[in-house]
Amino acid sequence: MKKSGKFLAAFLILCLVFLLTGCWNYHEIETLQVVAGIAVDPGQHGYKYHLTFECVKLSSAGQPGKSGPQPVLLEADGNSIFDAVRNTLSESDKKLYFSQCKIVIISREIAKSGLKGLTDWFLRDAEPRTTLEFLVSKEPTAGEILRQKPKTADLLSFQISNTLHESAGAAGKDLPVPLYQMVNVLNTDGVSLTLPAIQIKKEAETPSDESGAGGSSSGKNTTVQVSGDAVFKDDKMIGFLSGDQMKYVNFVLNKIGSALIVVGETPASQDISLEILSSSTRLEPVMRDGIPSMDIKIRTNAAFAEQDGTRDVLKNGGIKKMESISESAIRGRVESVIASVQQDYGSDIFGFGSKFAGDRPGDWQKLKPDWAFWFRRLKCNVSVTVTITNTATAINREGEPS
Amino acid sequence: MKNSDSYKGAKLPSEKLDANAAYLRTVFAGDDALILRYAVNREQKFCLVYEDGMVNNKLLNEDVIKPLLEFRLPDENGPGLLDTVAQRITFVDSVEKTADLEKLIQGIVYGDTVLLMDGCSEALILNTKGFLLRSISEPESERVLRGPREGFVESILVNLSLVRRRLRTPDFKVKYRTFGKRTKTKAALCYLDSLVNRDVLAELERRLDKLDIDGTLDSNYITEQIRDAPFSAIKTVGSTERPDVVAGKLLEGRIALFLDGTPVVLTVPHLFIEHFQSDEDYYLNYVFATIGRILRLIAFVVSVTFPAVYVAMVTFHQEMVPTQLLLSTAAARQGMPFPTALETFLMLVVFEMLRESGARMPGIMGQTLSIVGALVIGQAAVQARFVSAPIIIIVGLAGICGLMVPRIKGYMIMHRFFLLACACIFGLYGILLGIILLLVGIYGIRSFGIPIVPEIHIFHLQNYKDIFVRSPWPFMVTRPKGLSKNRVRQKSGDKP
Repeated sequence: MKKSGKFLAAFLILCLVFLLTGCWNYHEIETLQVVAGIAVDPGQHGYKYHLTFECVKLSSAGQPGKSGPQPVLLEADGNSIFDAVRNTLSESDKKLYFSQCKIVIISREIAKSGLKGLTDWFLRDAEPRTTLEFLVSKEPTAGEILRQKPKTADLLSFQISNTLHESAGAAGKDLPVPLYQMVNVLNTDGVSLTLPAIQIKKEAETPSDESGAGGSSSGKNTTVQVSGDAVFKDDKMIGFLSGDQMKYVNFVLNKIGSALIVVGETPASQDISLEILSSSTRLEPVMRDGIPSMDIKIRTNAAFAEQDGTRDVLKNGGIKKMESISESAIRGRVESVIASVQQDYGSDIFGFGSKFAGDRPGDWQKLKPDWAFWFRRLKCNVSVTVTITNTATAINREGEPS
Repeated sequence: MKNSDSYKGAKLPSEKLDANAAYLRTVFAGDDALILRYAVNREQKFCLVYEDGMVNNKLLNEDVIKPLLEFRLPDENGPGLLDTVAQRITFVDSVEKTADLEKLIQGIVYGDTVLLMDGCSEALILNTKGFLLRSISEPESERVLRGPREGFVESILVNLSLVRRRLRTPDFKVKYRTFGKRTKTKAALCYLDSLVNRDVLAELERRLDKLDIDGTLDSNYITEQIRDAPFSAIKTVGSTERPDVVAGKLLEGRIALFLDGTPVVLTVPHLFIEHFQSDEDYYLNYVFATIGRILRLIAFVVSVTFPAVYVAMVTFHQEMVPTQLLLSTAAARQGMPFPTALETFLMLVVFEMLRESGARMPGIMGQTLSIVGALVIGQAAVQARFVSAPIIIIVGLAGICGLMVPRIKGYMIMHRFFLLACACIFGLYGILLGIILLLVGIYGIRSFGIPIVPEIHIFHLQNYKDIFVRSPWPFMVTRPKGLSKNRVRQKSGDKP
């Protein structure tokens, strides 16, 4: 066989490997209770956990009335996650099926007491995906989040999952962490975890939507809202960052998508929006005289997306000016979020420690024992370069882009 | 009446006309269609023996009987006079003088007229064949939008002429044979002498020589006795009703076998990819032909694997199904009486029943079939919640795809069920195992010594020119590998 033949054979075998996944026992699809999302609360009556499952209730086609999947909630207590999962069988005729499960919401109390025990089953069991995303509830319990009515999708869990990604990509205000990354972060020195936070948002009552007012939420329309991230130290939650702070955390982590930078000509005003087209961040750990510091270089391409005023700010070299205004705004906000994380939490959510471990392993050995100390005092030199590449679809009268 | 073989080597018994005629009468005893027509000219008696309906009466009357009666016979008799009759009197294109009884009998049963003459122990066989034939028309099973519209008929001579007209070269060889101890069916082995693979030719002749069957009414009687892998569902002998296809195959170095009485001509060797090659591929623009070729290959794969993959995904690997699809499938499956596997199996059988009834049914009943098929079995069964809607889609898709490649129909139906069974037991593992088995099976088959799947794992563009794509003609530089030792079809380097 010629070399190309061997290559082709190897390629085909590799293709086959991807198909050889999954469980191989026959079970009919309609005997499964498809779980879309899970909420984890501390247990009642002496149990350790109280789990709320949002499941999909299937109304078969051809039946009159409602079409599409409907949510149905199952609740169970258990001394472990798996125990609680099995305990649902006392009230459900079908086994729960987790392969399509998108999110796990954990209550504050659980988050504060540690995640490591919690994640084991999700990682170990065959059914839940490793792309499962964890969130922290800002409300007293996690279960009440799942009791809300979905607003824009059939199922609340799917809505939350989509919101997480849309919000992370286009607004940059949270950072979804799939299960496998979460476990990696928990088991890596020099980096700490953040998980998106979720809360219930009360909306003003709209007169037209009377039917939607279920009895549970006392006549008020409510919905769920992703709001910033929870900050962890080791596997225990220690506080929250707001969505706006998370945007600049994402800058440092080089995970900013096409978020907006809202700036103004004076520090107080915020009337100009720049849409990020692409952005890259380089972290360079520096060691000088035994003292670590971090150079953060952010290069951003942005589009001038909106100006909320009558004066044409782009006239007479205005673009250059806009660039320098946004550069200093980003620098200031990044510095302030780093400072606040350093002082308030002392938790290395930026992964500066692991950057040292990767780039300067020798120095890291010295820093590692006292990293909590060094992180609080780490000097960060932020430099930002913003290039405004276009002004969307508008140009001004002189023919310059405006 | 005995088999004509039993007269091998026998001669006409006598010089007397009456004795010979009586003898032929006894040979054909019980055959009322045999006609003996006596003619007398100047005391010389002749007798014409022929089968009614097999001869051209006009030719017999005007060009045989009339001159025989009116000619001024010379004053000779015996064999000399018979030569005169053959050479100077009758107006018939082919005349043979013989005393061989077997030949005479063969001539009579095939529409020739035997002329017996008093005082001669030999007889003339006059070619007066004249029986009605179907006219040349486009074959129903191989219609084309663009390209020649001639199709073979049931006469081997007409069929040979249709191919000969396309290959005007002495290189085109025709070797006659006879098959069937009783039917004595005429056959012809055709090939282009400078292109044919001698090994294949020798192997084919060896297998044909071994044939010992009493009747060959269609070429499939021969196919199943000479083919490789006789019990596999894969064809290893090609068949077509189109003269242009035969000519094209001969030009690639293949051998054609014509059989009298059937419009289906066999070609060997037959490669796997020929199931997917349509003659129209070569007459249409190569882009269009390539799209068709690829669609046919995809349809083949879809048709064989789709029901199995559906069952595997829905009953074994739910985690591989996209969420929304899983939810809608699960919703459709709510409260179904049968398990998915059984449901799929039953619906596939129902589809095959519909197809088979459509194929055998008089055209006028077609409407009934489509109503029963579409409404009763499709819509009503779903609404009555006998079967789930996705099954109808899957089975329909597999069925439609199957109809796109009719030449490999049997293989597809058989292995669709095979893979379905694999999927029901082992899920995707089973399907892959099944596919591996099928591939090993296909790769192992040879057609007259030529592997039916050529070495497509060896990357060389000329190997692919007519497999997944139909290359433009300027790039068709060589003949398919293995078919001919003389591979160069045209000079390369003349590409536009």
